[in-house]
Amino acid sequence: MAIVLIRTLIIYLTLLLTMRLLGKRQLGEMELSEFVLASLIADLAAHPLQDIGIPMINGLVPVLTLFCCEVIIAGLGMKSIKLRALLFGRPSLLIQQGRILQREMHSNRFTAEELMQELRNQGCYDISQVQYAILETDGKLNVMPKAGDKPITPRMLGIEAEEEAYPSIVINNGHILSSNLKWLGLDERWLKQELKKAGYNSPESIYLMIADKNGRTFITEKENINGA
Amino acid sequence: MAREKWALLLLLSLVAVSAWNIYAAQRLCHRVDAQLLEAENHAAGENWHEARRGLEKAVEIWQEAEEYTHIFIRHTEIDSCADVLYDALGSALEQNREELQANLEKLRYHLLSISRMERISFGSIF
Repeated sequence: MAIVLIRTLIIYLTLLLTMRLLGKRQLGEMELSEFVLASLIADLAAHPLQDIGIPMINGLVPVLTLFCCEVIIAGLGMKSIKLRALLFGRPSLLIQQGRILQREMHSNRFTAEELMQELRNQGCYDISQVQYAILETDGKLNVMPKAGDKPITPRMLGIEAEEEAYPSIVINNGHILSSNLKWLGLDERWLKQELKKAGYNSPESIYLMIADKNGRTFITEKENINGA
Repeated sequence: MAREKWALLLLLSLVAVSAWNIYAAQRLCHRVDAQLLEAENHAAGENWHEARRGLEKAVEIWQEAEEYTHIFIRHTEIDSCADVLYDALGSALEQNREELQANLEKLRYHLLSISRMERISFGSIF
């Protein structure tokens, strides 16, 4: 039993490291090779866990080999557009200038029902409002609405809008994130002043504090989640 | 490109270790087989003491390689080999020539299987 436990930990850590090194894409949208990798990798790694008579190297070597192949292929794909197109395909236009391209729908094995579903996923319930719909190589559908159906922006109304600053977490569950404060060009003295202004005594009592470079803040105090 | 270079390096390392493993598996099998042949020849000449020594030497070689075999070879194969090796030793102790011959043949089959398992061939890949 100890052997199975140790093997499980080793395989788990190897998988974690491998998937981490492959990047965030593995967790979200996946290209074809990434999908294959994700499908294979867990199954391959699991074999030595189930049978301690199988050398662990029989699980680790396939995982590491797949990892190497994926990294190398992805790297080559970055260098060569042709190779990238060969490996991952190209995005396909399913709707062009408001017209459904049935030939593209057919070649991508995309049905009308699926198209409507994906449009609804994009918040678009009226297909007549779509100027372009692009099926990306990771299977996601992106939509560009017609000009008259786009949400109104300040620029369209000739209004000069103030640029917003990017908000960052500066206190997370009572802990001050100094690196984020530094990135915002702020410091702990400013942070404590803001807390005092908002009526809070210490950072430890704060659940979440978000700030941006313009000095705007959002503060939530900790709640007593353990009852009484 | 640094990550790709490390990945390539790791892949090449895996290839190198695989190549070494082919050599190591074959070498182990050849060393054990050499002792078996010696034991077989001694048994044929009714020199049971030397036959037994040859097999004990084969057992020693096999045991010395235990760490390697447990890391790289399926345990069922290792266990099968060890079983037959000890059976052969038992046959030599009992001075049973037919039984010894049978065990040695079985053992050679297992060693060949281990050796072939790591060899790159159409059969071993598929």
